[in-house]
Amino acid sequence: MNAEFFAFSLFSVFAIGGAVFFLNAIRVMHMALSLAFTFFSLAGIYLLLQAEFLAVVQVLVYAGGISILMIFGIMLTKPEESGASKSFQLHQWLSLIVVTGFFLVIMLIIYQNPIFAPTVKVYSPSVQSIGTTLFKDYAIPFELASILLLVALIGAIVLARKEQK
Amino acid sequence: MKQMAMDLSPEWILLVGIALILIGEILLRENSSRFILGLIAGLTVTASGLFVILQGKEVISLFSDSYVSDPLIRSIKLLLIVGTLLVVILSFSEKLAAKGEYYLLLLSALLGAMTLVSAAELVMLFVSLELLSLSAYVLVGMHQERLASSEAAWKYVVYGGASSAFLLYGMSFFYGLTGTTSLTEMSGNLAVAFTNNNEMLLYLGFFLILVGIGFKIAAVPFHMWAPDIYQGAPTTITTFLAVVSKIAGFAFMLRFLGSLFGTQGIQSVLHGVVIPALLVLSILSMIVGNVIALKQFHLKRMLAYSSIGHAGYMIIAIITILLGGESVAYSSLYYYFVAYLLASTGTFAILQVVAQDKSPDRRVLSGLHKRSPLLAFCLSVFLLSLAGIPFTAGFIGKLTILVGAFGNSLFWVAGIMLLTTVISYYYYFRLIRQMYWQEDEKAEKERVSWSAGFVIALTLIGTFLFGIMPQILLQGIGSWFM
Repeated sequence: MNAEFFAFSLFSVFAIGGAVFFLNAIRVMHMALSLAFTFFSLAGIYLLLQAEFLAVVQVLVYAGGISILMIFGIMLTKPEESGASKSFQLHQWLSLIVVTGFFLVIMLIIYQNPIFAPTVKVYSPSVQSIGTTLFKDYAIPFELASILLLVALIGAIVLARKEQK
Repeated sequence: MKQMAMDLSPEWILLVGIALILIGEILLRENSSRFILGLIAGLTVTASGLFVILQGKEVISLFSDSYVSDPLIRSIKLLLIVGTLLVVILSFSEKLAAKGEYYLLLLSALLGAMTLVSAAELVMLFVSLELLSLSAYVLVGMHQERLASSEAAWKYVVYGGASSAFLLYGMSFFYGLTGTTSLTEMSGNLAVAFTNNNEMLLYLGFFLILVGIGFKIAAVPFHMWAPDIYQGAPTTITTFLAVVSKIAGFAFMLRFLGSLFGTQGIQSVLHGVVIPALLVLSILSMIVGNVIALKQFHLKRMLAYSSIGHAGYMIIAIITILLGGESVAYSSLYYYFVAYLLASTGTFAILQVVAQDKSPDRRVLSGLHKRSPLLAFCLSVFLLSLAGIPFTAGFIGKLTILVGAFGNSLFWVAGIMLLTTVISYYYYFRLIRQMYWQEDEKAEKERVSWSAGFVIALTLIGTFLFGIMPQILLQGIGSWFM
């Protein structure tokens, strides 16, 4: 058992544990915190996969930005505390069975057909090369994403704004 | 640089329109009319359409083939533009349009649909699809005082989010197999991946993507969201979803499947998996959509199920294109799009006039013949076109699809299409009977606003023109991209 395997087990247990806590938490604030935990552990897994840039972005955007934004949102809106959830009902069992089946099928297929990654192309992308790709080949999606954010912002305001009469 | 600006002009214009509406909304006073914003939106969409036409026959390919625009793509863009323009005109008499953001979101949705049609690269496909969907989510929920509208928006977000997740997961498998996000490079690499015994992953990716696409075009068994959302959304937005969003979804499907499974090395996958899966979707959509529409009393729900049935017919046209019918099959699909666009828009415009703010069940049509004979006549024509009766555009559309299906020996599917068409007669004719042979105590005439009247007249003329003289459109399509 080497260090890499140990780190991977640690991060994946944290990531899955965070997701389980997210589903089971009763208070919204606990949900946000466990989600941040999951994001952070995912960044660790990216680091193990030698995707340093992705890991840093994950920490900056998801673990940092999104989580803080969510906590702010919760603090500003003061959501109602819902009571403890009821025990499992029929449709929940059904969805559990379907989701488990789906998971098993995907796992089976993935493990039976390993994709061997090309080993020759190992390079660490510099910020410059990422920038060049982003603004040359992916200029349109980049611009569209900014409009997407604008639409999301305006949409949120339209839906949240109360009519003043 | 100047050339690039010219090539992208239809999209630029829409961006300029979005900016103008945003500024206008800030400058206008709280209580003043937002008509001017609607006018800006209409003019922008028209200008965008003009630029699409001006580009003529040239083939544009930008940003290392991630943005492609050829006459075939441009013809679909024109349809999207015409559909949106009709929706914008209809919106002039819609109360919701008192908010300026309404037009902004319509334009951004159109922008997403246009780039979706032009995209030849997975990242761009996905971002465009999300831009279209996100704008649509907000538009559906803009009727804040109506609970049904908020509920519809909520359901749409949940279903749409889930379908996007499936789509993205499927795309990631394709990326993993081929190592590229460009559709043209991908199709070549896919054949290599297939011969390297990775076909199970290929099938998995394909089925995940099919689930995502099935949600977007509302094909059975992924149709559950459509009736609730068509019912809850404001009528103008229902029109937008039923026409523009649906056509964009089909264009996406055609582009994705056509460019990935079109190469020689992968023909066995196309015939062994892709076509059968599409056939199942199509048959289920035709049967379930038309049969459930029989027992719907709410008009919008009924039209939602009927549009699910129409999705089934369109999938047949897509199958014939994939089987190598090429230009003939494509023009039959295009013809069906045109007929469906005209008839659906007209029907929803009349619904908006007749039902006003109420939620329309079948009774609002009772005795429409007595109250406004002209409206009753127009609605009958649109319903006949949807049903596919001769002398309307819908008939020619269905006929060309049937001919294509017979040409590829898809006799079973053609038979089911004929059968479900006969079933659909029942509920379309039931509405016509309601209008002409049922009495209603309400006697006052319906008030038709000029904008709704304009849209109804335009779609009526189109339905008749393309129904009686189909060669106008068929030759037009032919000369455009041949």
